[in-house]
Amino acid sequence: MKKITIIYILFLPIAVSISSCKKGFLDRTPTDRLSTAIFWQKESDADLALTGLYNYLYAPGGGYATSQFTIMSWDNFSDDAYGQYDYGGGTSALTGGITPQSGGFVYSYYANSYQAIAAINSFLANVGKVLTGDKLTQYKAEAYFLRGFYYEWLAQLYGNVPITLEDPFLIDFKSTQGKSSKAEVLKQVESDLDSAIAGLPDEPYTTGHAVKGTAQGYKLRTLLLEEKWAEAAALAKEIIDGGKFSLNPNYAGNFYKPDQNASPEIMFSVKYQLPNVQHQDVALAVHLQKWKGELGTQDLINEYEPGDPRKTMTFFFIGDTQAQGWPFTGDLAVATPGKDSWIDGYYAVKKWLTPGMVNPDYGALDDNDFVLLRYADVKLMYAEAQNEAVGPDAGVYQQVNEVRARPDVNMPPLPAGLSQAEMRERIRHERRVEFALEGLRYHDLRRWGIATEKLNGFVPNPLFPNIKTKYEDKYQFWPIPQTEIDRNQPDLEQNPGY
Amino acid sequence: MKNSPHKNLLQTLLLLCISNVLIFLFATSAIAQTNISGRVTNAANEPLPYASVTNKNTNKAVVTDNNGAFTIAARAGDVIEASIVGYINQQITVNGSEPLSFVLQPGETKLNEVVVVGYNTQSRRNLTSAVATVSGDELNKRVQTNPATLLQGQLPGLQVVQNSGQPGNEGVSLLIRGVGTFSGAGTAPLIIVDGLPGSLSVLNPNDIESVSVLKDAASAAIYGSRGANGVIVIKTKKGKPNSGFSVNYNYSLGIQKATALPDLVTNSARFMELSNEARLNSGLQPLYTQDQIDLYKDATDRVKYPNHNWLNDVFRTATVQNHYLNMTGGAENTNYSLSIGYADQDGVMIGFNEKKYTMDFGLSSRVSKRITIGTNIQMRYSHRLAPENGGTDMFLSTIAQSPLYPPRTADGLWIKRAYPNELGNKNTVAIVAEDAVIRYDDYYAQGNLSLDVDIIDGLKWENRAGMNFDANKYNDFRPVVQTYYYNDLSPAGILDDGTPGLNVGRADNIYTVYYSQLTYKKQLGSHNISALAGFQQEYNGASNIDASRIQFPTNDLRELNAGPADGQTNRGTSSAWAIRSFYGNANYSFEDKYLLGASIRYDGTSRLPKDSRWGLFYSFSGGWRISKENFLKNASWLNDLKIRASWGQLGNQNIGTYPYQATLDNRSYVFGTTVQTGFAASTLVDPSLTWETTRVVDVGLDMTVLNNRLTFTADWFNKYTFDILRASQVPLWLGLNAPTINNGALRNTGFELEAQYRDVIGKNFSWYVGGNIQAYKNKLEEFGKTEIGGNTIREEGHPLDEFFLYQWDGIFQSQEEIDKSPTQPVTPTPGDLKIKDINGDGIINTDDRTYTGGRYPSFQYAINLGASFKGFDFSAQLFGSQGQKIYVNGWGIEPFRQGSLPTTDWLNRWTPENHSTTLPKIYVADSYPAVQNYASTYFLKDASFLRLKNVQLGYTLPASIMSKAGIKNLRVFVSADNVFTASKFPGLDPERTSFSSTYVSYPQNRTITFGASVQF
Repeated sequence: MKKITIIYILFLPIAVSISSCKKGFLDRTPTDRLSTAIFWQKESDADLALTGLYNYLYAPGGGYATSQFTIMSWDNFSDDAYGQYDYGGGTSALTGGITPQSGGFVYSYYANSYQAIAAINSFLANVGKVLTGDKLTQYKAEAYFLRGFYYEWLAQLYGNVPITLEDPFLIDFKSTQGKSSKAEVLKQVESDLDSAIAGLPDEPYTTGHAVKGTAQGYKLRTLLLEEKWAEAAALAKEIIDGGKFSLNPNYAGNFYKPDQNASPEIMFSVKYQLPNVQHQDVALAVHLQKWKGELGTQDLINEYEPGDPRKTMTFFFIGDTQAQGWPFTGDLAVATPGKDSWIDGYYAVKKWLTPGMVNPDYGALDDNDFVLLRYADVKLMYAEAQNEAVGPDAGVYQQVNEVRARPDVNMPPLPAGLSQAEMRERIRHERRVEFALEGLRYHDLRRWGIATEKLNGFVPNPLFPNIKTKYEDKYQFWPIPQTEIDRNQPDLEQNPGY
Repeated sequence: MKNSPHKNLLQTLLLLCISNVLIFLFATSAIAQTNISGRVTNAANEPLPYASVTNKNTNKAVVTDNNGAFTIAARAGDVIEASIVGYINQQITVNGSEPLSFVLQPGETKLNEVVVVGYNTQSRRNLTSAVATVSGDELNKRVQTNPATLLQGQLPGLQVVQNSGQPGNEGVSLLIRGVGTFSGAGTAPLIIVDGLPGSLSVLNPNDIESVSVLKDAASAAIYGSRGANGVIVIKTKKGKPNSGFSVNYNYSLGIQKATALPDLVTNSARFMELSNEARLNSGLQPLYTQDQIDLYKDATDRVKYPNHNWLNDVFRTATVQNHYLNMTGGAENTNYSLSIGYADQDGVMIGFNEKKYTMDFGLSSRVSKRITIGTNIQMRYSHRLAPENGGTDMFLSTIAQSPLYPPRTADGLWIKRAYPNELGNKNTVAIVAEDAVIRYDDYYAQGNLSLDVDIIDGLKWENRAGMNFDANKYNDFRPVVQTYYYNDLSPAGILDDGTPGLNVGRADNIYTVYYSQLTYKKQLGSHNISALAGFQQEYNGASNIDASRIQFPTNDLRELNAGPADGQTNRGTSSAWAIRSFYGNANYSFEDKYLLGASIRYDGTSRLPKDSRWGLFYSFSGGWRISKENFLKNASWLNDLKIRASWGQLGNQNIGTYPYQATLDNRSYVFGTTVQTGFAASTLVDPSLTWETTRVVDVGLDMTVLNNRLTFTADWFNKYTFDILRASQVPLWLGLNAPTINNGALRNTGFELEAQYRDVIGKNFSWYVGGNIQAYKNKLEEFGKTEIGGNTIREEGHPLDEFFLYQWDGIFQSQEEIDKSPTQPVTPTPGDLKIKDINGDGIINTDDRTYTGGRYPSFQYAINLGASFKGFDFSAQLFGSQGQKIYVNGWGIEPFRQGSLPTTDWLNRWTPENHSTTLPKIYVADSYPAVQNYASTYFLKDASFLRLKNVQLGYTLPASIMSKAGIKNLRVFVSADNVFTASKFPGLDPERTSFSSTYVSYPQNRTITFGASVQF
């Protein structure tokens, strides 16, 4: 009898397990992720998906402590800053050059942008399932803005790139594609931004959602890239006349929390929020002020006019102490080049530093938004476009002078009677000092066609006059990453010269 | 369950198995009748079937039946000889008509050993598949805490690479017959412990009874979808029936040092001059002023201006201790083995330690005439320490500290650099002393219960249920530690040990498995059959949880609650997979001469979609014992000769847990001041995903000659893996993560040879020498678009991940030479690397990269030898791996990476005066374009090696003396591991798992062990 009992006990699991087929012993699903099958069914899914699109703005930048829109690292590619840790890859770009195998921004802007574009294309293909009417138009407009935004980056950096607009989940993933010309890409950018402008609310930028002015501002940048001066001037005028934005009387307040939240000048930014959404790897104050990942060049310091307060609002100088906002105390209480990662011959960065931050180091917390577009930029873009289109008229003067006359900058107006060429130099000067460490310089130099002139043979540190940077004309079109060339053979050709 | 085709197939299979059994049952034959009968047994009175019994006078021979019985025609005075492979022949003279009783003594041969194979055991003589075996005794000649490391060189066909000597984290890679796949499913073999999947590395090596490697499809097919990478079958100790009770205690003390460390420039002034030279060469500002150099050059105060060698602070002579206590025995119906082990190993690098506690319990008891129950349980607790960023980081950080300063002043201040203008990494001595050391606790238990029922004679019902449980946790605290500059003791910020604060985590894994099978074994005259059929079900559930806090008020408390809640984080998840299987196996032999085998397995896995989740795997094999044929009957030199062949298909499904299910990524964003939840789909899936399959052909030969003194085994294989589960190649512009798909094929062909000779000279001296060699070739047969990585290529027709490099061709000696040479990838200056123009177009670009050999070893070999004389025993093991190369760069091999010290080799660098042709001019390896912008053979180093893996001398005290003290056996020994290594690899140990890595990594250990083993 006993044996029989044992036999029953032994057979039981078999019986149970076989009969449990129905309940799906082998049917296992992820426990922490939603299935795509349940998505795009409720109206609220549109909000979740739209938020998801903005999340791509946090994409990593291909290196430590640098996300894609840690924009000050762009200045390491230029004559404005020296990147002692090669944040973003700018230092190696200026010494070893840019190749199809380069990492940092050279790879990440390409790969990240297309990941965001894929999500956007999928959004545009599906959002109509759950939204209708004005809400649909507005949600789509935000997606169009973001697509235009990413294609603008691609056009600006690589020039000729593939264009993809369809739902990526419907594309055969084995397919290959060639590239479109820079002009075609820019045309796509304009078209997306036009759709965005038509559908976005005409209101100030407050929450982080793109508004009409945001899309207009990016279109303005695109038009400048295309040198469509008259059209650009008109669009800039429209933004200015729209009156939704104004200069922040406090220049520095554009660069730290909580002042950024109330700045009427910011038109687009990547938003962070303590305690949950922090900068990649370390606080910005550690990246910038403690480790000095970007250091200003003497050449940039020399650019400031005497008495321009933006110089001391952007950089620290020898002997600075707490009175000047220097964040370190104790033995480091007096700013001293040569100490604590401050390389002699360069200048430590003050911009982006949250006042009151003391001794930032590992573990420090901050949540500055990366400001990608400011109203001051729109005003200077107007001046540039108008000056190119019709010359230095009163409107040009007015916009430049207003930027200079911001209350806490308070620089005198430009002298009257400047020639078009002189005005061009004045505007370029103004952009350089106004936007130092905001990542615009490198793109401006390439846009103006003077990158080789300025960056090839440039001496970043005057203490070492023999050490010079390199820049080649071919960098006007960055190389497409080699992986992409390999995977799209034979359709995709590398940009010339690589 | 619906009446699915799968179920029908299953039924058919079961029917097949059963009908096979029946067919064999009735296929009997008769035995002849003569007048003298007898029986042949071994010393344990177990019958020896198939023994030859010869009347030496008439030369007539018969064979024993399955009870060892025979009858033979003979007259009084005739000499009758009994012989069987593996035993020493015995002769008896017939005296009247009483039955003859032969008791054969075993010869020194492996043929009799019982080999543990899938769900069964088999005598080696009957094997038709490729199985290599090593005994626990043989393994434990070396003393190591991780048994996986002991397998190296022991089992032909198994490639064992030990990545480092780090206690508890040796990183042993096990590879059976080459890299079979490039999928995420991996190449790790399935580990079976006491019949069920388990873990090898958790075991105490002393608890291992035997290890078998199932190499071909015939042996592994019964493991179906988990057998594609081969199977390693481990049997733990269980005691022997009727062996009484004995207690065994082993102790050993090992003294360890790194096998090799680099020779660095530690003269501070020389270092600074070289640094400045390198920086100027690299277009960088020199770091050191002449004043600083002169201070160190002319100093008399070597405390203030030291020439400090950091390697002496970080590397040490370390000890490892092992205690092992085993109690084993057996009564009539029950045998058991209980053991407990403790190992305490310090790392040869500061900050590393592991304490490993093991318990093993093995029991088998025949509780009634028909029922046997048993259990095997192993438990392991490991407490491991490792500095915050691991061995490689410790090593590279150490050599990135300049010789200008010690780790700490006499007053106890931690030093970051000598001067603020210096480069460097972090103070590794401070990391350890300030306890930026992670604690890893790992609790592991694996065990099973078995119940075997003898239903009728030969038919057995076997059941086994097991459970593996693993819980591990880590506690990773990063203290806030002030550092200083050595020159003026001004503050230099806090120690670079990551974000200060605490990270803790727990992970657990539960694996349950159950099988039930019927086994039938029957000897019917000349026919021997065995068959089994069973059902198995496996489930695995894993979960983890991690949490962190930052900004602790103190360095002394490393618990979450000791830190502030602001900025705290947590995360966690769980996952599960399951497999359900039906399997069967049949073996048949005729007259011990013709052997056949077949296995089948039908597996369903949760990892694959419903419609394609079931896979059928099977194998067929055959053997022919030629030595039994009449034409070899008189070849007295030949004891045994068998050829065998097998063919079969195996599966692999061990890819991510949910590879076919499309899910949404959590992607939140801040709007205003609140974080909003968002989702996006970003990964493609293939809803028709199915099995990766490996097809193996194996041909082998087993031979025993010269009166069982020489044994020889050879195997040739052709292993073809197709429908490889891989990430598809998707273009970047698609913007989605690649799906896992079935695509690609890979072939490995190779051979294994093993030979051993053993002999006894005189009465007291016995010796043996053995060796094995294995080699394979790897070829990617189907891949898709050629994919070029940083320094490797995946292209059809070439080995998988073959090196694909620019070819380094010397050093540019002059500007004139540069001007005459093809345009280099980076404009060089004299003293830079010269690269070969492969396609001869005058410009060196990506088209000049080319295939470069050395990705896989050409062959690996081992030589084992030993001897014993009276109480002394001696053994030695040599292991070699030939032909592999490693691509290494960074700290140590390249100068001034993060300010790291150059090796003394760089004193012979190229300079305008010293026209070296082997070393370029010195540079700063923080992206120096002329050397570092492209992957060239300059970085590829020959990593072939031959090493004296172990040599051991032991002495067993005479039993006559010991028995007076109540001791059955007492042996003392001294053993040395990694005694010497012959290699061209520069500076460091050549053995490592990665073919492309930073040059420095946690070193291997050279160990001298003193030990004793006593048995009561």
